[in-house]
Amino acid sequence: MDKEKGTFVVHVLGTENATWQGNVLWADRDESTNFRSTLELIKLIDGALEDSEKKS
Amino acid sequence: MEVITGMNSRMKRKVSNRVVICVDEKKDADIRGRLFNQYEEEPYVFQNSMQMLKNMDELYDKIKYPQASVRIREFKNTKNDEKQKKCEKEMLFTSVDILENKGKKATFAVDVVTRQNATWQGVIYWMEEDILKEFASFMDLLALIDNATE
Repeated sequence: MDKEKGTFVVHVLGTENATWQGNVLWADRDESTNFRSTLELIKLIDGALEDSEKKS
Repeated sequence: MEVITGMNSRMKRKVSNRVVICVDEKKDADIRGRLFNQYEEEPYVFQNSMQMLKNMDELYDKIKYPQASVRIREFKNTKNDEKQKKCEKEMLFTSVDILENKGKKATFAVDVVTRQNATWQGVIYWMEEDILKEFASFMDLLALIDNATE
């Protein structure tokens, strides 16, 4: 398997509006942020992975 | 079979942001296919639902419709200046024109009506089965497509 791209810890704290809410920790950078939907969660993680790739 | 005959009347409505998802294959529990919109001649070929999501979201941002009620968050230091570029897009096809495209496995027409709660709300029409469903979130939308393409 390829070298690990990133590690994220997801806490789902709510399920309003037919989607998830919570916070996600980008473990490699020890940065955490809240998300209001799975769309936002996916984009947060995707953006973080893109940024990791640029900097590696 | 003629597209217009028997098509749900909701689909005959003229909108400016319809996309037609032509699912050609299901692989590794995810969909692959082509995405058609009213602004581009050529479809966007996607290998998984995440690529599809990104392309659709970019489209709604570019044409500024529907306007998102909130701005999607980013982690710090992941600024992407390209996202802020304004883009004027000329409509090449009507929302009925693009319904002519068909997927090898299934075809869905999706109208995202609002972007509230940092997600999408709208209707999805499964063309082959003539079934129209509303969705309240992107997760809803994905679950409907997944269920239909089992």
